[in-house]
Amino acid sequence: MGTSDEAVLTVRGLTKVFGAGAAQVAALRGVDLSLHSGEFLAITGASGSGKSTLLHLIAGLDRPTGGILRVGGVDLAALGDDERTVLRRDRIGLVFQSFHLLDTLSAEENVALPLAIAGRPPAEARRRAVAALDDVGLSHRLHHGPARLSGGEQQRVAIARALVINPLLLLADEPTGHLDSAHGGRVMDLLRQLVDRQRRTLLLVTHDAAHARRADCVLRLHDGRVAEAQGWHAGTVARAA
Amino acid sequence: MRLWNYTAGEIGRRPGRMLLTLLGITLGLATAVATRLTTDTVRRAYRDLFASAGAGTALEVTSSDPAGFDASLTTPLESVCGVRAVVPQVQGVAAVAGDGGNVAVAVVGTPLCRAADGPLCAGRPIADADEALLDASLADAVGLRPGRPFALWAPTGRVTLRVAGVFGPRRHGAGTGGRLIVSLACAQRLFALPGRVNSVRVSLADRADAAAVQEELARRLPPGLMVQPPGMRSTLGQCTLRATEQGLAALGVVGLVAAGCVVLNTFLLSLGERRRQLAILRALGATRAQVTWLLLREMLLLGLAGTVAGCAAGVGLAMALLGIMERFLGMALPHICLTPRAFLAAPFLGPGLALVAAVLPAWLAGRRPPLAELLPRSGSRVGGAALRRLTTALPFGLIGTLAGQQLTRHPTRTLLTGGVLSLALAVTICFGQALEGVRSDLRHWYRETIVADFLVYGSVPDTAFLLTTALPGDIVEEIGRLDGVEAVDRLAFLPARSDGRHVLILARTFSPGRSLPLDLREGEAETVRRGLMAGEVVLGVGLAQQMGLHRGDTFPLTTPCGPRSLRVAGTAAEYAAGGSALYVEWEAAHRLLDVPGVHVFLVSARAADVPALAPRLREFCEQRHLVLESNAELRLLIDREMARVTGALWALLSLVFVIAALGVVNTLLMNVHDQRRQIGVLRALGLKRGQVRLVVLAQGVLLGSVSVVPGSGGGVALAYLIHRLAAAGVGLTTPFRVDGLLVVACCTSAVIVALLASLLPARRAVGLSVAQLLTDAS
Repeated sequence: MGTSDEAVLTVRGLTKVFGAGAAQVAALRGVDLSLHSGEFLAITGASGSGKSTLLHLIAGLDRPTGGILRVGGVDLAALGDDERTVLRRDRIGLVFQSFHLLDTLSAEENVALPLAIAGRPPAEARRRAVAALDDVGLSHRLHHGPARLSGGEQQRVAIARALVINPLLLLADEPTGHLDSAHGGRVMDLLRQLVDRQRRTLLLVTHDAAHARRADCVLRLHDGRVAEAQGWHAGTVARAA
Repeated sequence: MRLWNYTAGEIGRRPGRMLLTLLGITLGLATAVATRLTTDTVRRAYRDLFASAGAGTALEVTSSDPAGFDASLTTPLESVCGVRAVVPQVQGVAAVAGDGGNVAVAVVGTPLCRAADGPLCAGRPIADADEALLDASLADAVGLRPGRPFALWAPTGRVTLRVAGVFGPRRHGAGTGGRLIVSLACAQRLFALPGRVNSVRVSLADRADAAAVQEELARRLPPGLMVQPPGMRSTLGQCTLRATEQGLAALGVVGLVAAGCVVLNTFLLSLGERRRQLAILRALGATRAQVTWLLLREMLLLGLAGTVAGCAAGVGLAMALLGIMERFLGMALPHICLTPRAFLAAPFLGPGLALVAAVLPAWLAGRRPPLAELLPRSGSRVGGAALRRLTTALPFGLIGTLAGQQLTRHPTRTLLTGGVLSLALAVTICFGQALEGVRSDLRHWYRETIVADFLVYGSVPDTAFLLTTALPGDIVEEIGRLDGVEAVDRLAFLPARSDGRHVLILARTFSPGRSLPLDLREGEAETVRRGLMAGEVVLGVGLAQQMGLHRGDTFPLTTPCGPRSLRVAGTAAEYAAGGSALYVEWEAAHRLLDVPGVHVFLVSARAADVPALAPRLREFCEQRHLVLESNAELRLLIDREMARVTGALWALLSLVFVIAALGVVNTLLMNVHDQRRQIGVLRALGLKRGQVRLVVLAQGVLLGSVSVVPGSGGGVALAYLIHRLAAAGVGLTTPFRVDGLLVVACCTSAVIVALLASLLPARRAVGLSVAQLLTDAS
């Protein structure tokens, strides 16, 4: 079993409360988990269980109310907005349900965007973007805009964009939510391959049980707590409430 | 890949939006550049009125004695270090009788060897004392060519000269009332200065220190002579311009402010549409500063582009403004003078305008949490609850309620748009009220002061009374001998100084037995008449208020014989010289100052003899190449010119409404975009296209309506303020009165402009596909 020092992701007693007073809502009520390099964790749960909130906190898009949250050994709770942004830019790859590609850019430009934001030289950004698109099987769509791509292709472009920074941690929020079963299956195949062949560390949020079963381990959240943990193996720790 | 690609993509994605922003910046900058160019050109024209174009001319020696001085007094100046040449001259104003009427010209008499003022484009230099050189613009205006004789009216009478040659117009001064060059002897004869001059032009050597030379010259000059830069004598004219310049400057500021509001509105519109994209950039790791700088950089680019377009448009607008100024001032003006000063601020104004409008929204956009835009919205954002309750309570039915609710969803956007409309409305009402006040006062002043039936002059005076032709006084007797003439009064315009202040003396006779032709504000008519005949003065109300004087106080006047203190017999409304004018009786003026001649003969006919006298006077004037105007013709001319200037100014003011309309278009387009989901659902539930159109049009009407109260209130308040300032400045005395019809007309126009501006957004809303709307919504 790996130690917590080697963990890519460490979460201890994580809480998130929205609002105040009588309108207060506790989205997370003390979640524990850890994830090591090369592991694939799926988080499931009903709508409102807190799974997207958990993913957003891990991505640094929001700040936890309490608990410990470390990515690559860095305590996110102690970071300011800009520092969390830089961490996200350099270490975390994000894949969204709605793809969130920029309409005015081509596939290649969309993939290169994080590198441009990071100020990498254009030639390097282009080279790495082309390589990332090749990894997802879209090297023939370099210059196509999102409007000329199918839903599945758009999501693969989004995955390539997440991979181009060589992330420490890959986060996918309902990546098949807007896809039909065929395309959704292909996207899940791609994600599985990334873990198997490239030893990516992947955290997937999904409400689809079939897709969740493709992960190494599955956490089910309920009312902001870990209700069930399945498929544990060495290095992954989760404690049910 | 650079973030420039994203910037370029965004600019190219909405070319209409980009053009709208560019248009706003261009219009604002054009207004500022145009007003500055016009002001500089007019100032230079006045400054160069009597300036010579001799190379290196930098200083002028003049005398306070209107009788001039002996040119030999300045001979020792030639030995001053830095002086290249000393040229004695006689300068004055005369009237050239041409095919199209008499034209006032600036006459310069100079030694024959110096006669050529520049390269001749026709004819030859002057050979004797009866020849003259005309500038090309003047020659074209009066239809004269080399070899042709022409009549010239000067203070000593009418002479006939021959055109020897035509010289090319100087870069700036040509056309400014026209310039005529004659020999020194001829000018001395025309202006009654035998053996004397009234100006000496001093040319400086290259790299001479003008200030040091001026100081040395002043030290060597005898008492009574002074050395100064050329063109100082036209300072009184520049005083007249001051109010106009302030009006132009205000127009420039209003244009910039309105443009800034349009730019801000368009930018907010663009930000609203790009929230999702900016959130994606933040999610991918762009810091807040990166997002803010990205947005500011786009605006900077547009600002720079707007600067170029604005400068070009400003030159065009300045040409139009200059045409208006020509009519207002009553003198020909040169072509636009492209001074660096007019464009100096442009590179800062354009980008500055864009950045000032964008800095706060860009900063806020950078700070917006990305999650707010990346997560699906559970419901629409709404504005203030109180406003929503109000719109629901209004009896406008579903259409009005939908329109009102959409406007209250974004109170900032609505207030900004309404604010620009209010600004346009306020400026329009203020201008209209002020103009009507001035016209009303002008009519009253005219009725009281211009009581003569006919006016005879050598040339029509310009607004600043610098180009006025003095005629010999003995014409009075000639006119008086005509059958039907009851009285002939004389009027002259004399620049003078009082306590260092430039004033205009209206020296005139006051025929006995006739009503005193003054619009008195202090003093009774008979008491004032007695005072005038005793050598007292009547101050224009503006001048009196500037100096804090009233009836019975003492007015200081600088005369060739030294300072004099004159008792104030009364005050009267007077518009000449921007209000800095006073009346002095004719003989008293002769005792105090040098009166060169008569500028206007005021002819009163015997009762019922006006129709009979007219043809006699016309024949008299035609024979002598004089200008005749009846009282009715003059009134018509003033009204017509006033209407032309007013019409042109209203056209310029409409620019402000155009800018406001752009803001309304912006806002409603954004509202349509925000309402897409709602429109889709309502259409699916049965709302017709026509009803959708009405919702958008109703938003336009509501926007116009909410601007009415602050706009009209602000406009009336501003008008009152200007009325008070005008009362202090030029002695405007009619009581302030709100012109209800004007206010209603302007308010109605504001609502109509908003309604027309909502047509395009309404068309877009109607054109949206319901299926697409519902798909986007889900």
